[in-house]
Amino acid sequence: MYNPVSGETHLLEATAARILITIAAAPTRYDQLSLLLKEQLDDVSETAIDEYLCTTLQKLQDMHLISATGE
Amino acid sequence: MLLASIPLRKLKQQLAGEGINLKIGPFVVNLSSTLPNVAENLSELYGAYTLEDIHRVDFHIALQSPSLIRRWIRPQAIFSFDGYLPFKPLPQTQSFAMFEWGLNWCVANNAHQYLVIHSAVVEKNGKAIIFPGTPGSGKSTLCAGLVSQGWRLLSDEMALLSTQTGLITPIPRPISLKNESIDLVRSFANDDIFVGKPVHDTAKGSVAHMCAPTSSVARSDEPAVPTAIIFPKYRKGANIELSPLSKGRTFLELAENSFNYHILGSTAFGALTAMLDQCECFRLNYQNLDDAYTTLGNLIDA
Repeated sequence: MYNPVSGETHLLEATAARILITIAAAPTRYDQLSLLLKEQLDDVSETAIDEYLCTTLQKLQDMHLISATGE
Repeated sequence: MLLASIPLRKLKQQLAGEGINLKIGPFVVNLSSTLPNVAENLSELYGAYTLEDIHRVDFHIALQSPSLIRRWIRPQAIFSFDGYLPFKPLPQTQSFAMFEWGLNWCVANNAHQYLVIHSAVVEKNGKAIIFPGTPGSGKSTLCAGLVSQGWRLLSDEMALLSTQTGLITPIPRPISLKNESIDLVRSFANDDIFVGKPVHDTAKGSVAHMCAPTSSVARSDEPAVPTAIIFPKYRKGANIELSPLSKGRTFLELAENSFNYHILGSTAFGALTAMLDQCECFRLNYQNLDDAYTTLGNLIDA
């Protein structure tokens, strides 16, 4: 994906891209994203999904693609 | 009028005066020079190119001596572009190679109507293959080999991806061969393939240029559809191996190999994604050129 603000290009795997698209459509709470992933990935443990989500959100934040609101 | 139709003496006079307007791919280059051997090298390697009698010139290039003393003592050459000197002087024996390297620089830094990707491009049956490659990957040797087998040369050095049409614009120019590949390419040269005298002790080792086939130069105005992107790697002792590469990884490597991705920004992103949508992507490990011809021929024919 291309970030028009920074001019940087990032390679995201499919699930991370889906998370980004979801957040781009409307501000989304962590628990909403977690629920969404758990519905889509029913063969993956909840712990693994939460670990993945934390890591991915941090990566997206480091890339300046999203920002936390603190809510 | 073809450059080859001008007698050498007259060519030297024109170069020493207002210069010649040489059509190279989509560009018109005005070249002037008083240096020895430039006219001879042009006749050998650019004989099939047309001279334009027009006033639209994209690049004004001059190859000259930096000073009177450097004309006689340890002779040197300087490259100027629109009066600007982007490089340090080089030994005069490297003046023609300097023209080639300098013209690459001119295109890469100014032709932003294209996404300029560091790669060779060849075409067969209307299908173009792009070979991005870092120095030493063997892309020029592979490109020269395919061209000797009848593939059309679009470029040995840069893919000009039109951001408007998504097609590759040809810029067929002499193929730059280095070190061991010079004798290798000479071994399969034919009537349409000429390799000039090598120049030694350059920053890249020994360098010689193979002329672009006349048929490729004649089709300089005919763009091609990109259909495959292949990252070649020459490996001694390697068996031929063509392995698929993900489009995401290919995208990043192409962006890294492009000269002006950072300048074009979202336009470059759009052009690359559109191209990748219609291309297959691979890595190619090879040692034997005959095996590479067969593998790539099968890929194009499939």
